[in-house]
Amino acid sequence: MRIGLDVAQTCHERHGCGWVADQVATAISAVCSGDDVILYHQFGDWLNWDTSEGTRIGRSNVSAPFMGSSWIGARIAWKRIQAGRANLPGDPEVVHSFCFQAPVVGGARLIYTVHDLSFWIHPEFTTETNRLECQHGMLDAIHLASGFCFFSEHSRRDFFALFPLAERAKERATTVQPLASRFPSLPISRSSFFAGPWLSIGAMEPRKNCDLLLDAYEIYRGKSKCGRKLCFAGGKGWQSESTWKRIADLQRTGAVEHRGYVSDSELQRLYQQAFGFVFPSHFEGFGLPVLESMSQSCPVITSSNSSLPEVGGEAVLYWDGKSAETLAESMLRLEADENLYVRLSKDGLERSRSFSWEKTAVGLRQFYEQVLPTER
Amino acid sequence: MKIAVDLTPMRPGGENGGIKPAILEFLKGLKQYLGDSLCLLFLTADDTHHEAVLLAGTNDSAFCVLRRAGKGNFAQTLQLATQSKRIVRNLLQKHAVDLLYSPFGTVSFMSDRIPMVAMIADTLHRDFPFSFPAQTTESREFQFRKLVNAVDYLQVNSQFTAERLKLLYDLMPEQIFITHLPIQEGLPVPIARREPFFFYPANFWLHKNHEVLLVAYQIYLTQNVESAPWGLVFTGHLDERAHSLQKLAKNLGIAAHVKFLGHVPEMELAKIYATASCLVFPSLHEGFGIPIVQAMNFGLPVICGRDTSNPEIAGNAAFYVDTRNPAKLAEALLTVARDERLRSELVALGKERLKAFDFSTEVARLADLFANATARRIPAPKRKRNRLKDCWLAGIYYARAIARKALHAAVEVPLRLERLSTLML
Repeated sequence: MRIGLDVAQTCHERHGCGWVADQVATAISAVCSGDDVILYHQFGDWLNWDTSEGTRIGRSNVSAPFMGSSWIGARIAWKRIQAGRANLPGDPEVVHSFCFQAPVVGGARLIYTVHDLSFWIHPEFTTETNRLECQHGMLDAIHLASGFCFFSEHSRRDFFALFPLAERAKERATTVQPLASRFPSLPISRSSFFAGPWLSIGAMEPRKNCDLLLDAYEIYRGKSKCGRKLCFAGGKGWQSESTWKRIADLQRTGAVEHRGYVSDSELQRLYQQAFGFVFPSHFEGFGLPVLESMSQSCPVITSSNSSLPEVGGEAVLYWDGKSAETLAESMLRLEADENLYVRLSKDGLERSRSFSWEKTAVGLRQFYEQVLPTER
Repeated sequence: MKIAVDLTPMRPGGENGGIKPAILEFLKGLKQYLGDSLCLLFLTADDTHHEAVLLAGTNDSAFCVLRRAGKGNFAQTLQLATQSKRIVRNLLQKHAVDLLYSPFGTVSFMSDRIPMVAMIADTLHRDFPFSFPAQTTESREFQFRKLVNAVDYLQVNSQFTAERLKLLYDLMPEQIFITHLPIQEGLPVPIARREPFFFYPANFWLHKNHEVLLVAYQIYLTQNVESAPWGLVFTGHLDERAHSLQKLAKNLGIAAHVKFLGHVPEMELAKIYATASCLVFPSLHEGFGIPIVQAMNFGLPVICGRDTSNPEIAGNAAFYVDTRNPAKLAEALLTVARDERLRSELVALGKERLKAFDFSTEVARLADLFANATARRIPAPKRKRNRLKDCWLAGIYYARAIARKALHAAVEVPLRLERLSTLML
């Protein structure tokens, strides 16, 4: 099979979606060694001025026709494809989009990734640019895609709830493929309390509920005997000026630290050294940080909304989502109960082993086969 | 009082949206209010010249100063900046015009010699730039910068727009003048039987948010099981986006329930208002939102969001909902369609709300503004003209516009050549 994969979002500072595209591309190239894999570093209207940072895979079955292409060259190429005057380079049979774009892809079947539907369910958490881009891609996909790919059952349920009548959506093939940790699971779990700080990961955006975390942390600090630090890592995000200001104030007292956007290896080290991982998110399409923390044996406190229970299972401590007080209580509880701490570390690590990029890749390959004979 | 009115941006049909009928209504109102003491000089473009002629009384005159026929955007801009400008300058002098009024907010004919009043309908290009191509956003911004430096008074249609302008362009509060647009009584109210459908009159611009409404309506249809579902009717100039929305309705499986009627003349519009059962107004940016007051006048309940000027206009008389959230909007459609008592409450509140708006008062205030502007001009230094800064801004603007054109050409020229060569083969 000739499989086209969109890796356009891997060319810049990578956030969730860029990492997913990168990891899926790498895993599919390895698993499907008998197939041709074509990587598109320029995809639809998602065009990059510079592709040098994009995903590179040194395998004989992988080609990257847009690697190193100019913006203008890519624009011309995609305009010709949109006008039906050319096929995609490499003539793929299946094209899998990860970057919210649903372009015309010639004779190929288009698979559209629905990362999540928060742009409609919680529009207040996103920027207008983001919301419109997601909405535009989603509605194009209803028209053009042959299959829809989700990372959680929860996202798929949202999708059917939002398109109850759309025959095109109902007739299309769908699949749920859980993601996996970018870091190999550690060999052994923790046998006692770690000395490190609390950790929270993610771009600073309202959806991540950082303000509440800071409230909870202040309550926690007033009551805790250990008084651990709180460490953040992640990009600049949006709509969070007041949160940034608060963090800057707390940083001066030494209680809080924000590391900014960190490299992969540093992130892994942060998980490994942290005492526990706190993730009170309002909404997730999957919740990759939870899984990554579990894979590094770091116990997790997280919300039980959206897709998070699908990731955490019984192996994390769920916060009831009610208030900063209850979140602080959860933190204090984890700090006081070493048995619970050790169990969460062990169960989390074990559970993380049931997720792997190979499994995701095999599942996707099967889905491509299922979609291939369907009509467009 | 002799006032030159720049109507060159006016388009035939409904392309200008709600602002066009509002402007024409106000001009009619002014003529009625001031009678013979007012003499209007319409500056028009060829394609809408006849509409201005219809408006002109014995006192007034209309001059066609822009030929749009057969010209592209660029050629039109060039003509406006050269030939039209010269003609208008001579006209203003020859007819001893007291004031230049620019209701569409353009600066084409500004002059140092006579005072100028311009109307700004919204701050869309700053607050919701997604509705425009990037070049249009920049050209609007360039026009706005010129305008705020040149005008004596800016007329806006809501407190909301006034606040945005003060914030974005550092204007003096006394330069801004608010007139609401309560033109609801301009439409006759025919006697008709209500039919079960939601009505949304709006051009198919991105900020009008038709997408979320269509998705919401689809959810409404599945959840509405007790009774026959209400239909959904759109009016508005049928452009390319309207066609893509029609396609979307088909893809969503709701095409049979959704009507796209295109731009309709006033009598027809009045008939639709008179038969509709509810106004659904999910627009994300409004400078006033004329359909809200029109719907209230026709006794329709109103569903809208809390964005921009909506709460200022609708007050407590609308059913508010987050119009970016399809599930919530669907719930609102369902609630209003199901609950007759709620509907009559909203209608009663709407009638009450309309008492806050009176067209003739607004016209009288505008007439006073014109009298003020001609009598007491804001002196030039206060209007903060800074030629050096103007030149700098213009330089940046044109450099960016040229760069954008060049990039566009680098993509389009090879594509056109290719198409040409395949045609020749």
